[in-house]
Amino acid sequence: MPGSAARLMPDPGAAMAESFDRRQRILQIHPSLRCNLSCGHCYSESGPSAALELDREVAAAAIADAARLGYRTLAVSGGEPLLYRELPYLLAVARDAGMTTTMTTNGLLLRQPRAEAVLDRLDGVAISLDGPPEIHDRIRGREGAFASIEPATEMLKDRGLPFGFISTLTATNWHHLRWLVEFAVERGASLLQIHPLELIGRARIDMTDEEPPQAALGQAFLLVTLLRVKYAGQLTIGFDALLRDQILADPEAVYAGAEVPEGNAADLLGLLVVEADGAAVPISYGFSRRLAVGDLSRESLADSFGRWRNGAYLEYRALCRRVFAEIESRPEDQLVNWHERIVAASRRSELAVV
Amino acid sequence: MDLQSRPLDDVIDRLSGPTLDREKVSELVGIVSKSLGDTRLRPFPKGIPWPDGIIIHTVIEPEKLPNIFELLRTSGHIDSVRVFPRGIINPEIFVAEIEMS
Repeated sequence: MPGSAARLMPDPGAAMAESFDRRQRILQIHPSLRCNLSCGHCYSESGPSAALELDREVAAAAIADAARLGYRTLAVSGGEPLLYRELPYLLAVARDAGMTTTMTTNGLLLRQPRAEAVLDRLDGVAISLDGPPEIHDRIRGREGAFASIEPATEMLKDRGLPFGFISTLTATNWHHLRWLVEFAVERGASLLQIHPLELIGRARIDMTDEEPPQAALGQAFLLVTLLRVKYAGQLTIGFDALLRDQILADPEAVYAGAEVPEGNAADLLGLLVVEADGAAVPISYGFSRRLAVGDLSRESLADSFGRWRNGAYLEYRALCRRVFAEIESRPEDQLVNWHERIVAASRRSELAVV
Repeated sequence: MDLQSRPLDDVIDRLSGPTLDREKVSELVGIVSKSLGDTRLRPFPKGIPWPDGIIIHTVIEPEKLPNIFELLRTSGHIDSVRVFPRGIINPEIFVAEIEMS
């Protein structure tokens, strides 16, 4: 049943239980950095001139291996994924392996005929949205970018394909959280996911003053909490920062537990990212290559992971414990974008080695 | 607008406005943090949507969220936000009067 949520919903109880699983078990693939926009906050510095693309057979093998290693979801990002011609093939491989498939897109190409084959093989779509029209267009660097979103959501609704919005929270647009939530509800979205801006990629140059300070992050968190109350049952609102108290109460949630867990690859590493050059890295795009799982253009994911598990994985966990200790020592930071912290720490560790 | 949801809207409006004093925000975040107890929120790295959220359309233990107002009410440390619940049963029929300075 391509494009149907029913495929995923035979057992709501199991679904809820899964949502509280400590590990997300997601394979994220960036098949290409080519994009039809050059957004000011793009962490991968994607744009129209980027030419790097992941070989389709390397990607397909990684997906099949990842499914065998316990990963349940394929999340495709980019670049703009709809510019990658082999995407229908990769999604079919993931579906055949029993994985759930999602794609993050800027939405501009969703109504193009060539998107049909992609949409047929997706279980959910996330559209990037950064605020009301003028703010969205400014951050996206294209006047009229917002105008494509409403018709795209109409088309997704007509297809019965679940969708949501991913929004980058900045020092200025957090005042519009209520607007974002109301827009998402009005359009029939299932999810609004708020991700605090990270000063990496193009944002390091174009948006240096836009990183939300701790006070703004706190106020945004309070707003999200109240909006969750108001729209309970209508919209899931995600906030990609953890409360410090939550981290301290559950160190293993951030891989800083005293015991190294047993299990398959997805139990050991809940988020695995394959970048456009074939590098497989832990947790998030941009993680230090020194701690990479492997180079999939040279070696299979299954083989790479086996070696990583017995070597760099322990170093990765030591890094996670150092970040945990940093968080523990800074009670003034009540909200923590842990993914940003761990990627930054991995980069610093790279410099220390050099 | 639904009369019963008005107080909640007032707080949302207030929080959407100018940045509050950092210490005040910090205190409120601390209260919310306590009210969430063992609720596990799941953050995601950049570019990855929460698959359960987008597809299964569930919410994170919404029944716990009204407790935040009770905690705000009973907190002796918050002067600028006063919340008076009149019987919190579920988020849809939450009734409160809120006064903010």
